[in-house]
Amino acid sequence: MPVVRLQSVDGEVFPVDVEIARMSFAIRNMLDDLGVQDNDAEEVIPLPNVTGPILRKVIEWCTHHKDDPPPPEEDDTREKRTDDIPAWDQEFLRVDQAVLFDIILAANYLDIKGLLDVTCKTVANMIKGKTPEEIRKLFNIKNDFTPAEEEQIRKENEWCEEK
Amino acid sequence: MEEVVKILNDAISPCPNTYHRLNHLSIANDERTMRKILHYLSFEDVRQCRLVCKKWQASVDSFLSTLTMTSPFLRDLVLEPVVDRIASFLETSREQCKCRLVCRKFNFIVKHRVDFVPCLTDRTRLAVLSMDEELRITQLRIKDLYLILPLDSNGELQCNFNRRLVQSLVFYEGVPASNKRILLVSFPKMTELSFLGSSSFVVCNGLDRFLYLKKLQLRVDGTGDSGSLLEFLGKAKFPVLEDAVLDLYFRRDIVLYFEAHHFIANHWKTLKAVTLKLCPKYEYIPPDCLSDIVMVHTISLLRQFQEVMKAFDTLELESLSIDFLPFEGTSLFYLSFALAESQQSLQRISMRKEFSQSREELLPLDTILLKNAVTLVDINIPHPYNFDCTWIEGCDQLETLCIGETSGGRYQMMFSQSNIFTVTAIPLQIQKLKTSIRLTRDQVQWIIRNLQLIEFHFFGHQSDFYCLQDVKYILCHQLKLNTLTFNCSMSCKHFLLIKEFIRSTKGIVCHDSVYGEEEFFVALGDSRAKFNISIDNSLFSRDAVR
Repeated sequence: MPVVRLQSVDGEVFPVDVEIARMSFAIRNMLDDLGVQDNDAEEVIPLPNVTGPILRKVIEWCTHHKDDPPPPEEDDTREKRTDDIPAWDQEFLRVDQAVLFDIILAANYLDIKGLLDVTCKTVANMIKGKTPEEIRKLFNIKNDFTPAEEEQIRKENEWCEEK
Repeated sequence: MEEVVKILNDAISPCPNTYHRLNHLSIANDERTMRKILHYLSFEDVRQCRLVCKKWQASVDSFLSTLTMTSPFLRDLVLEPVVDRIASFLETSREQCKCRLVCRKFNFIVKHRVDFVPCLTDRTRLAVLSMDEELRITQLRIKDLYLILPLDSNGELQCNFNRRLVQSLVFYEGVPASNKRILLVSFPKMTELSFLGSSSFVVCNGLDRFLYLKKLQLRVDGTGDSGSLLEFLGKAKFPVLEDAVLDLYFRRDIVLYFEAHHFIANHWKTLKAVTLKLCPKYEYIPPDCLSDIVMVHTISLLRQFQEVMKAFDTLELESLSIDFLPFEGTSLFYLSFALAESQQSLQRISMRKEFSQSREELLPLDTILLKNAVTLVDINIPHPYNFDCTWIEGCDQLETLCIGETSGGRYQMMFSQSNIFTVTAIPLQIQKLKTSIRLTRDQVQWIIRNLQLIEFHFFGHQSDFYCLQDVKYILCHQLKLNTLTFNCSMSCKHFLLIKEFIRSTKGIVCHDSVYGEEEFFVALGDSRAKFNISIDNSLFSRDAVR
């Protein structure tokens, strides 16, 4: 199996099967744009936005899901569920919040739709059922609204269309 | 400023090795790089960067808003596409709206995902009119709005939200004509206009008015003055109107009857769908009262009737739904029949009519069905007479045939002697068959053998007694069936056997079962049973039943 070498921002190098690396559309485009052939094993692909520990997690996820069918096309009208996260993924994402967010950023940067979806669903599940104050506390966010702005948004929210 | 430009120029200059080429790709598209650069600048320099171009302005705004985040990882996380994606997995609008309250950044990202339908009243007007200009307000509901609305220099509603995003206005009770007029001219992209229970109407014709309005809905309960309604129906013009819903309480007024049809005729060029309900609610007016109803009966009005009927001939409706007046088809009340009879390309037709015992008001069912045979997909008709299936023989597109009210009602009791003829002419591609005309056992068997139905509702003939074997026969031969409703003669023993069979069979659920106790059944005769069951074909095993 041909291999590419992915280099994290902290200099760690990971040899990865090309087919697994190509699950990332960003890497796939880089390989295609640069004309890197399957047998260019010495070519190092630098990933300046991903640290070694996070890249290791991303590769682990991609390896586990390498035989999955390609994710469906983006469709905003399609019903989006969050109760369908596979058990393996749930266990895989049982990590610190900081690590989870770093994986999201890596999935976003590397353009791995399946991983991005499953991590975003995990965060969405963390948000569901919580009050705005609880969400701020959970993510350590400062409330930067004035009381008048907050009141106006509360009023506006009363008129949201149920779906 | 020069520093910033230098950093970026350095970053995008041609580089010999892969690593730098990749950095170039990254910098050109990555907001993170921009943010890192902004971190090194003074606040004044950041403000200057905002003036460079729109893209820089957006980046600076985004950067400034994230400064309020205290969490370092969240600061990174607040890349708009990522938060937007997370929000997309919040299934309900309520959950998404809640996120608007977390912080400004969340509000900025999430507010685009939600549609808002505010209710404009005297009590809420300040809050509604000051709604965020970027909110997607798709519909505005208006009621109890007596205070004068503020106007801009064009004489249109002065408000903070974007009026061009509003697609639908719904007027309820309590909105004076002056406010209606302001609102009607203030939403240029409106596609749908509804008056629900409203008692005053405003005509705002003009070349530049209602250029996008495709659907109009009038539901008038008849408690108010009909003067402005008559004027509205007679004069209002909507240049691209495709769908008109007129649900009007009938006030024994031939002029209102005429104007409702006149409105349809006036829009002959564009209308594709019409729903017309003129039934007097909860009131049956026998034909011998017509002399009271026809109050205005002049030569001029009769001439206008003829003009409306001519216009009907040029209408090309795809969908027609009419609840006829009880006395439609008698005296001057023939415009609704004329409207139905004039159509030749209907895909869907739905008609309801309460008939007198004499059935003297002849509904031209055969003419209507035969003229539209090529296009009809969905037929829903009353059944006071015998129904001859040769009328639908040529309906090659037909999917649904519903004759009479299958859920009960007066038809069955009043016209229980009606018959259905020539079932062998029913088009074979039909998928849903519902009839309250009683079918003989032979007719039911032909249907079961020759059609593959998804839904089947039928009334069995009085003299045909059904048993468990008949139900099994239907279920085994109808492989796609998911809903079966029947009302048949049967013994109490077989009623109980069928109930037990349904209860013990996987994939079949009984929603309703009644045995000869209701008043309705007494009218039909003794020993009637009714079942309403659904079949889950992924669970139901036909082999186990055979």
